[in-house]
Amino acid sequence: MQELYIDSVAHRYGSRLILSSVYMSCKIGEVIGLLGRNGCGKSTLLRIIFGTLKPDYSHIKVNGKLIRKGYITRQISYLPQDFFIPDHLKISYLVTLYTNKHKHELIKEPLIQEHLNMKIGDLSGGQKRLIECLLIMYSDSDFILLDEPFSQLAPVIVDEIKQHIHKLKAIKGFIITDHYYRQIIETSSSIVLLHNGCNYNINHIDDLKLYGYLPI
Amino acid sequence: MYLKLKSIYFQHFKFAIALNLSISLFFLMLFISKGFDHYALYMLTLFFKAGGYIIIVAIEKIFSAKRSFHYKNMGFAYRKIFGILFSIDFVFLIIAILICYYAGTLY
Repeated sequence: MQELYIDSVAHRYGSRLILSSVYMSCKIGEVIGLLGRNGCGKSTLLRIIFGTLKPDYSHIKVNGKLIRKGYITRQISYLPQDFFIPDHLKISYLVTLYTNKHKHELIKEPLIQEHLNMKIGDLSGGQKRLIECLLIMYSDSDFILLDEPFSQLAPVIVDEIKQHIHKLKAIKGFIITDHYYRQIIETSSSIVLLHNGCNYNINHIDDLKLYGYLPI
Repeated sequence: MYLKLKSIYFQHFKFAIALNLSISLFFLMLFISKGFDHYALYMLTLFFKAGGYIIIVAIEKIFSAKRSFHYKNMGFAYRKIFGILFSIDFVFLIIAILICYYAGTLY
């Protein structure tokens, strides 16, 4: 079975230990929700998996094959917190660049269809974020890492992203992190909390209170 | 993969290509006018080529670091992008110098 396997991830910034022995696994069909306080290492973990940050130690496998940088395998795509696509690129061009297998499905999306000949920089912040998110989700990669996909978006756009995740989870594995924990809980098939550098499986919302993520 | 790489170069590295090509052509003209037996000219060429490469890497890292995720989501790291670009540029310069040198010895 296709699986993204992450084990023994350790990373420190200076003398501050951020991640210590983090273990996680994401199979196709799973949506892992990653929660944690500010600065607990959520984005760091995603960047380590994607390969843009070199950890002190990591053991990451994609479909049983040990990898050092996720992006080189082209089986992992990553949506960073900030806008990352250059403003001067046309949406039609981006669709051909990012997607292959799911190109026709993506082109049918109303937002893409309406703005196909526009530059991504000419869109509003929310539309731009949604298009970046769609390009990453409909890419050919099997595993999608989404770093704060719901932040600063209108509820209707958040709902749309959730629908796309729900539709695509049959053929892809997702790891999502955001501070909108209710959205994460609704979308995810399992929840992992990063706390004190370690990961804890969350089975009930009360567990989040127990580990100090939510106020009691 | 080839199409993606080609699109990266022609969408984002036009200035880099133009700068490297200009340096190559400038030194090629110098070689043609001064002759090919000046050791210092070869050293100067290497120095300016290295300078051009450093400027391009610095500009990209300082002003366009955000778009590294754009390249990486397509499967390319800066090391690969610059590695291929600079190799092609340098090989092109060497071939151009050799062609001019042999053309000069023939006539």
